[in-house]
Amino acid sequence: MIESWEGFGERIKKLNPLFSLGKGMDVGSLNPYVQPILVQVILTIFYRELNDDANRTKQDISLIVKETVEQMKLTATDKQVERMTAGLLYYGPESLNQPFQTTYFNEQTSTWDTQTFKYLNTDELYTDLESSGSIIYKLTDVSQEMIFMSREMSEEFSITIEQLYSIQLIKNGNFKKAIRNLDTLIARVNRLLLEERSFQKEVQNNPKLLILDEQLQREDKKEKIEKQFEEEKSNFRIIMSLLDKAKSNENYAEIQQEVLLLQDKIDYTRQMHDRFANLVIQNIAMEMNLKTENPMLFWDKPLLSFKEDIYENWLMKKGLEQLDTVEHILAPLFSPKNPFILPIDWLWGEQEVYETTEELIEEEEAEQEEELIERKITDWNSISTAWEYVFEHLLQFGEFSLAELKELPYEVQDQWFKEKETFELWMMFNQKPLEINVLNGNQTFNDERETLLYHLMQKSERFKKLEGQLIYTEFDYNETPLQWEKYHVTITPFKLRLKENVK
Amino acid sequence: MSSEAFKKAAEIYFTLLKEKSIRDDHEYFAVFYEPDVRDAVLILADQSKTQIIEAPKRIQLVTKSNGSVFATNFSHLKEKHKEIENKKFFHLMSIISMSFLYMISKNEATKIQSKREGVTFYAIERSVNDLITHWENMLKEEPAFGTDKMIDTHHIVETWVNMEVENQDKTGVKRGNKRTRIGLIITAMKMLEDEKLIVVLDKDSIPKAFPKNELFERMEHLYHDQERFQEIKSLLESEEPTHA
Repeated sequence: MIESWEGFGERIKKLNPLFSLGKGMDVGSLNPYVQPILVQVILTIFYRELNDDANRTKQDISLIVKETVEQMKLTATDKQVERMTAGLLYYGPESLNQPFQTTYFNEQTSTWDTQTFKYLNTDELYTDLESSGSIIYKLTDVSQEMIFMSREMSEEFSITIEQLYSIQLIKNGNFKKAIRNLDTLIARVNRLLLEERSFQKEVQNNPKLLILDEQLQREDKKEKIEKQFEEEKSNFRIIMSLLDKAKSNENYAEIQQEVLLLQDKIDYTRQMHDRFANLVIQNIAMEMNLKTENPMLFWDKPLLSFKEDIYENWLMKKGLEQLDTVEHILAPLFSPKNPFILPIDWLWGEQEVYETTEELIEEEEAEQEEELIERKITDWNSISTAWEYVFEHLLQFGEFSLAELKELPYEVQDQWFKEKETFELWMMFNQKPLEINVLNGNQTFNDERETLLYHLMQKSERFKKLEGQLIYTEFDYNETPLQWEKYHVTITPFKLRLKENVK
Repeated sequence: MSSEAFKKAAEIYFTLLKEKSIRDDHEYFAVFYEPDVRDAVLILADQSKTQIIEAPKRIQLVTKSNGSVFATNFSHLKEKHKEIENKKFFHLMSIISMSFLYMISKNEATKIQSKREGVTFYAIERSVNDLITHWENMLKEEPAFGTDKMIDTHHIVETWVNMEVENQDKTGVKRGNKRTRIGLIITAMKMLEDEKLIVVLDKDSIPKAFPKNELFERMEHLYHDQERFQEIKSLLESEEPTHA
């Protein structure tokens, strides 16, 4: 079966409740707003459920609808409120108390099947059936799913809510679900831990952060924060004791596995939570310390500011007249370039070659003028003559060491320094390996090395053998640096190597 | 000063010269703060027309405004554009750098935001354009402005104004060039990236520059420092550049 169809029916079954929310009802002017209103109503009921609040009868729900509408700066007639309340509870006329019905395509049987669901149903725990009171509603799995779907995106739940929810689940004996929820709780604690750590880092780097954001003024609320942690701790205790109680349950054997797993997870979560609480308190202490011991950090308004004194009041007003000063302002932002390894001249030479080649790639047709000038002064004939020997050697033995140049007759060595580029090509080979493509005279070469190879191939057919091979370099750290005193050149020797059939 | 202190100072100075910075987890970091050693390092730095930037997390070595014996990524850029017809590109790239520094340091909030979200090259282009449009208007009101200076200021403004923002038909990783504004911005940012002061991400879509702490530390020392107050002020107030 095609992947996209796999589990398609199940997906639609999950989405249908969302698609159908508030769909069948006609509430006139409120039609465009009915879905957000209903989501808010469902959320309110959900939180009441979590908090053991029994005010979830139909009357309560219509009150929630009314308040929600007001909160959203809308107005609704009693009739509209009633319609929305009923529309959340039943499908069609209230008297029939029908569940919602939608169809979905069952990919396995290739049929359209019917799905029935409700957003709210009776909470048996709270509804006192015998005394014929009103029904107290709670969310169905379907509507909980909706909330969790949207939660995944907003991640707005606090630790406490996750805990309460777990408690609720455990109370109802739904251990499997509680285990799953614990994962969310762990993720939540982990995320907060990370945030707190990165905040700590930021503050150490830049204490001024502390006076920026109102929200960060946490030390004033230290007590409140500590109290919150206490509360969360006691929640963990409740969870643990609930689990202990579950152990005395008559069918404990059946649920033992789940309970034990849950206990482990809660233990872990509790440790993480303790660590988190510790870190927050530590950070608050650090903030207070920074503020009392280093008040300077916060007063010290610099006499100068780049924004005002340099950019706005000077560059904008006078900068055009004093472009040279811009240079003096920017220059000290930079560190000295490392003048070691090669003599300065060499370092420059190397960089310039590198930069020219890069620019040739970068600028293509645009900078042809510059390119022309370079071409004129480059005597490729001389260069390729010097290199001919090296490639000859390479073809024959597969490698050539720079050190071998030193052993050549002096006239030949001189040849290497006649053109600056001749020797600089060594540096280019050293920068990155070169894969030799089929070269022809019609193309412009991005790489000087290709130009060299092209000239060599023009000279002699035998160099065509190089096509398809890879040239790379290898350093020999044991060698002593080579010196050409006559040309003020010192260089660590390395080897050129050839690799065949790279493709 | 003991020769021991001087030896340590020299070691630190040459390490700085090589590595550009020493982080607080480096053995030399604490050594630097021994009073004798610190004094000696400062002398060495001063004599070579360089300066030390001290921040809680690291010390860095940078050159001084003028007369440094060292080449830098910046002097290199200048060197590459020393011909008369290319000089304007160097100036434009300097202006781009100034605008970028301005954008990331307007206030604490922009500082943090730029560190987290980066500054797109298009935003830099807008900021530079604001500055140059401002200059263009000044030139219109007062045509004599800037004309008798060494650099043909009209020419710089004109070059920018007549430049396309970017080459539309190119896709993939954009490269620096001298034909488009984004091309110049790419080259200027490359210089800062090579200096390890910023990180550039999303190079193949909408490139963004993320300033690093090193950059803020250098700026803090160079442009916000009380001790350097007079130096900067006099730099800004020197009305007459020395030229024939």
